[in-house]
Amino acid sequence: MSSDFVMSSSWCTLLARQLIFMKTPNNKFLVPVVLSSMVVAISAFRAKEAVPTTSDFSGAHPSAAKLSKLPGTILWAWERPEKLNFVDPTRIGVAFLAKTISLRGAKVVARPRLQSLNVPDGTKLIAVARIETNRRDLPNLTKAQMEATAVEIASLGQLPNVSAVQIDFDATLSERDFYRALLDSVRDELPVEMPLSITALASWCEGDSWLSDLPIDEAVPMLFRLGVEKRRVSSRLRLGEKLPGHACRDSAGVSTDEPVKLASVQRLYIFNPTSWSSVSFEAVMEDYQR
Amino acid sequence: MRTRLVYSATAIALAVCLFPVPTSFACGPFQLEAIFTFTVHPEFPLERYARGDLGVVQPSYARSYLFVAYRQLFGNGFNEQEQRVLTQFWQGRLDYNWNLGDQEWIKEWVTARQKVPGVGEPPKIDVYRHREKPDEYETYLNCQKDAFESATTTLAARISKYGIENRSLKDWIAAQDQVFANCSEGQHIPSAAPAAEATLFQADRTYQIAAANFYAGNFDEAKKTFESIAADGDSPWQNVAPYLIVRTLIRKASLGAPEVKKPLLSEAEDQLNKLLANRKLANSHAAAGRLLNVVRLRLHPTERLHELAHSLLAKNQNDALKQQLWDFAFLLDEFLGNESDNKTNPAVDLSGDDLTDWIATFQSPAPEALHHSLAKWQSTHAATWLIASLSKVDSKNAETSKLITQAMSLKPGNPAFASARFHVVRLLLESGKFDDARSMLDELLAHDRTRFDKSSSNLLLSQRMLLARDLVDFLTFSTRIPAGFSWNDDGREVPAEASELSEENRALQGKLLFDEDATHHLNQAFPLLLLKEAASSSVLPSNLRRDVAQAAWLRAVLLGDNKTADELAPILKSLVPELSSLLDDFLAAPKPDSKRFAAIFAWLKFPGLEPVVDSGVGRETPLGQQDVYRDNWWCAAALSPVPAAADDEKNKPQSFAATTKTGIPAFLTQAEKAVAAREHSTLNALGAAPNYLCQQVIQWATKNPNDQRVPEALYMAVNTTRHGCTDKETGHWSKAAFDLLHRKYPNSTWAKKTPYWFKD
Repeated sequence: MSSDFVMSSSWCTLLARQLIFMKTPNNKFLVPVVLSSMVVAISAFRAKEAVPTTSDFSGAHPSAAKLSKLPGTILWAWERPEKLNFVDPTRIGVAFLAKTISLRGAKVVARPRLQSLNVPDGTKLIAVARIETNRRDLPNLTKAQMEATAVEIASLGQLPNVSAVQIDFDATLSERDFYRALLDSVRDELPVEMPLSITALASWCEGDSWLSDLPIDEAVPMLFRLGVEKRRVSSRLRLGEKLPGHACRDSAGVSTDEPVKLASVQRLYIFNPTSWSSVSFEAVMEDYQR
Repeated sequence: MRTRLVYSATAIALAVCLFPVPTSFACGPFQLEAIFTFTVHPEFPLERYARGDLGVVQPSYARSYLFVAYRQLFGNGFNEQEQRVLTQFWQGRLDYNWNLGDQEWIKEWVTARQKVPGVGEPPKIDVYRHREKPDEYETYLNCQKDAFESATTTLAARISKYGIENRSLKDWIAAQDQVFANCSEGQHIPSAAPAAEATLFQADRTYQIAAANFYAGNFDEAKKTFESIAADGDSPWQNVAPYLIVRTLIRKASLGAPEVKKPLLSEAEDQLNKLLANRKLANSHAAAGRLLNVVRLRLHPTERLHELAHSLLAKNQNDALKQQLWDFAFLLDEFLGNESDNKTNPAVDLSGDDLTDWIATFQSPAPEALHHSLAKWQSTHAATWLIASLSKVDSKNAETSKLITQAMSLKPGNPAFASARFHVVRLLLESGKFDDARSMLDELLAHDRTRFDKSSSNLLLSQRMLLARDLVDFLTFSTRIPAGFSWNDDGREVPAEASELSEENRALQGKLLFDEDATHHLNQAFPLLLLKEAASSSVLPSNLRRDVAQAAWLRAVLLGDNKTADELAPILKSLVPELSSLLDDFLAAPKPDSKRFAAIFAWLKFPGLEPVVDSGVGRETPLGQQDVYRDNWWCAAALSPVPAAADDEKNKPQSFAATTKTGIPAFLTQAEKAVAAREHSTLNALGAAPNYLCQQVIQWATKNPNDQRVPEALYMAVNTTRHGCTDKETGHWSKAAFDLLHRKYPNSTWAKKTPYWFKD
C-alpha cells in the first residue's frame, strides 16, 4: 500500500486514561482491565509499527518465491515482429503481448498475438494480456463479461513455456470492482505456482491502497506515458526515489524513449515502442546498468 | 459450399498483417490535451489538406500525408473524388478497429446450420490458429469472412435444391464442421463421400477435403486436391479452383521457412498471370488481380514501390488510389520503419523514383539527407526539394540565401507558401536578423493568415513570441487557440469527439491558452517582476491572467518578496474572488512572518495555487479543491529542466512544434535573465511542497500557539502529506505536524479529524 496509515498515539492515550481514571480499587476487575488494556496497547503498538494491509513482496512472502524464478530484467515484446535471439536467457526474460482484449458494451473481443516472437530456448516467458476499453462504447462490466474475460486470460497460462501471466489494464476508478473480480477469477484458474502480475499506474503506488489486497504476486508501476501523473511522478524520480507503495517497490517498468532516473529495483521491465534490436537492447541495458 | 478463400485477398491479408495496431502502452490516466500544432498528421478536417491547403508540412507526419504533400507541391493536385478517397483512407486508419467481426461471421453460419433438423449443437469455432514451433506464440487469421459466407450460401443452395430434410445435408454439415474445426487447431479431415452420394454432394465433399487440408496446414495435399477439382469438368468448383491453388501457395509461403517463401511466391505469381490471361476464369480476375498485387509486394518490393510511386503520381483519375496508397505506405514503412539496427537488412535503393526519394529524405534527420536534398534542389529547383532543403539547412549553410530567395518568390496561393515562409523566418531568427523576421511574421499574420491552418499559425505565433520587443509583444503572441483537443492516450493525436467532452472541456473550444513554449519561458526565464507586470496586463484574457497572477503572487511569497506579493494581492483578488478574504488577511498582516503565515494558510486552503503557469488545458479542478490526481500545491518537477530525448528519438522524423522551446525571448535583458535564474534556483531548492508547508506551519505554530488558525493549519498541513507531491522526507514532516496538533490541541475538531499521519 502506498501511504502508511500509522496508528495515532490516541491508543496510548486511551490506555493511559484507562489507567489514570481507574480510581476505584474494585480489585476483582482490576486485573482483567489491566490485562485487556495491555493487550490493546500491545496490539496498537504493533499496528503502529506494522505495514498495514499491504501485500509485502519482500523476502519470505510466497509471491517472492514464485517470482524468484524470473530474471531481473524483462523485455516487453509488444504486437510487432520481435526477434530476440540476441538475449541471454539466463539474465533476460520476455513478457510478450499474447492477447489483446477489447471490452465494448457487452462484448469481449479477444485478438491473439499476430506477430512473430523469436526467443532463445530457455527464455523465461511471461504472457501478457492487455485489456482495452473505449470511451465511445464503455463496457457494461457485468459478471458475464468478467467471466468471459477471465477465461481468455487464464488460457494464456497454458501456452508453452510460459512462466507467468501478466495483465495490463489501466482500470479507471469505476472499473476497479470489475478488475478485482477478474483477478480473483484468473487467480483461481491459473496453477497455484504460476505468478500473476499486473502493470500498475503510478498513482496506484502512491496514496492509493487498492492494490493492497489484490490476489497478485507483482505490480509493475509503469514510469512512462504518465499522462496527468507525469509532473508528480517525475518529481519523485528525479530525486532518485521509488514510488512509495509497498506493492510497487520491487519492480518497475520503463520505456526506451523516456529515460528516467530510477532507484534500483529487483525486476525491471523495459518497453520499446519499436521492435527490439541488439543495438537498442545494449543501449538500454547500459542506461539502467542491468 | 464455395469457400472463397479470400476473394478480397489484398484487403483482408493486408488488414491482418498491416492494419495499424497500437504499438504502445497507453498508461495514463490521461487528461484532455490541447494540441496547438499537430505533429503526426495535419489538422482536422483533413479535407482541407487533401485539397491542397498544406500548411507547414512536417517530417513527422505519417507517410501517406507526405505523399499528398509531394503531389500538391509538384502542382499535381487531386480531383474531388480522389480527395474523398484520401479522406476516407485517413479516417479509416485513424479510427482503426481491429475487431474483424469474426463472431458475426461465425454467428451467420451457425444460424444457417441450425436450420437443418437434427444436426446437433454447433462446435465452437475460433478463427485464429497458432503457428508451429518455433513460431508457436504467433497466431494467424486462418478462416476468414468469405469462408463462412460461402458455407452459408452453399448450404442454402443445397437446401433449396434437395430440401431441408435431405439426409445428405447432415453429412454435409458434419463435414463442414470438420473443416471449420481446423480453423483453430488440429487435423480434422473429412473422409471421402460414399459412392452412392449424389454427384453434387461428392463434388462438395472433395472441395471440403481440400479446404480442411488448407486450414489444417496440409498445403501440398490441399493443392493436389484443388488441382483435381480444376480438372473436373463436372465440379461446380472447377472455375474457382485455380484461384484457390494460388491461395494455397501463398498461405504456404506466408507460414513457411524463409528459404521457401520466394520460390512459392514466384510460383504463385506465374499461376496468377496465367489465370488472368484465361478468359474462362473471368469471374476470378478481380480477386486474382488484387492477389497479384499482394504477391508482387512480397516478391518484388523495391520494384513494386517504384511502380506504385509512378502510379500514384499519374495525372489521370486513379480508381485504385486507396489500395495503391495503402500498399505504398506499407512498403515505405517496411523500408524506412523504425529499426535502429539495419545490419541485417539489405540496402534498398529508395532513389528509384522521386516521390520515395523525397519522402525518405524529408523525414531523415541524418546529415546525408541534407546534402542529398540540396543536390536535388540544385539540379531541379522543384518546390518539393526546396521545402525539404529549407527544413534541414541552418543559417550558416552556403545555400541558405539562395533557398530563401526562391522561397520568397512563392505566392500565397502556392501549396509550398506556408512551409517556405515558416523556414525563412526560422533561418532569419537563427541568423539574428530579428527585425527582418519580425516584419515578415507581422506581414504574414496580418495578411496571409488564411494560408495557415491553426496548427501552422501557432508555429508562426511561437516564432513571433520569441521575437517579442517587450512584454506586451510577448504576451500578445504567447496566447493561441489550440488546433484541436485530444486524449492522445496512444500518441496519435486523434481529436476528441464532442460526446466525449464535459461541458467545461467544450467551453475551451476557441479559447486562448498557453502552449508549452510560452509557459516554459514564463516559468523559467521570466523574473518575478516581469510576471507581476504580465498579471496586470490587459493583453491576456482573464483565464490566462488569472493563472499568471496566482503563480506570480505565490512566487513572491515563496521568494520572501512581500512588497511584490502585496502589489499582486489586489489583482489576484479581482481574478480569484474566492480568495479575497484570505488575501485581505495577507494584506492586513503587519509583519513579514505573519504575512508569510497568512499566505501559507491561504495556500493550504487553495491547493490549486502553484508558482508556475500551466500550459494547455491546465488543472481542471477548481483552485480551492483537491485534485484527485494529486496535482495539488506544487511539484518540484514543474521547475526542473526536461530531460534530453533518448538517442533513438533523435533519429526519428522531427516535428517543428518543439523548436521554439529553446532560445530565450529576445527582449529579456541580461539582468532579467540573471534574476530569473537566481529566483529559479531558490524555488527549486524549496523541495516538496508538503514538507515546506508543514515546516512553515510548525514554525508559526511554535511561536504563535494561540493563533486560532493554527489547529486547522496543522490539520491541513498533514493533509498535504497525503494529497500532495511527496518525497522520502515527507513522513518526518507529516509526523511532526501531526504530533504538534495532537499534543497542543488534542481536543480540537482538527485533531479529531486527523487520526493519521502519512509517510511513503
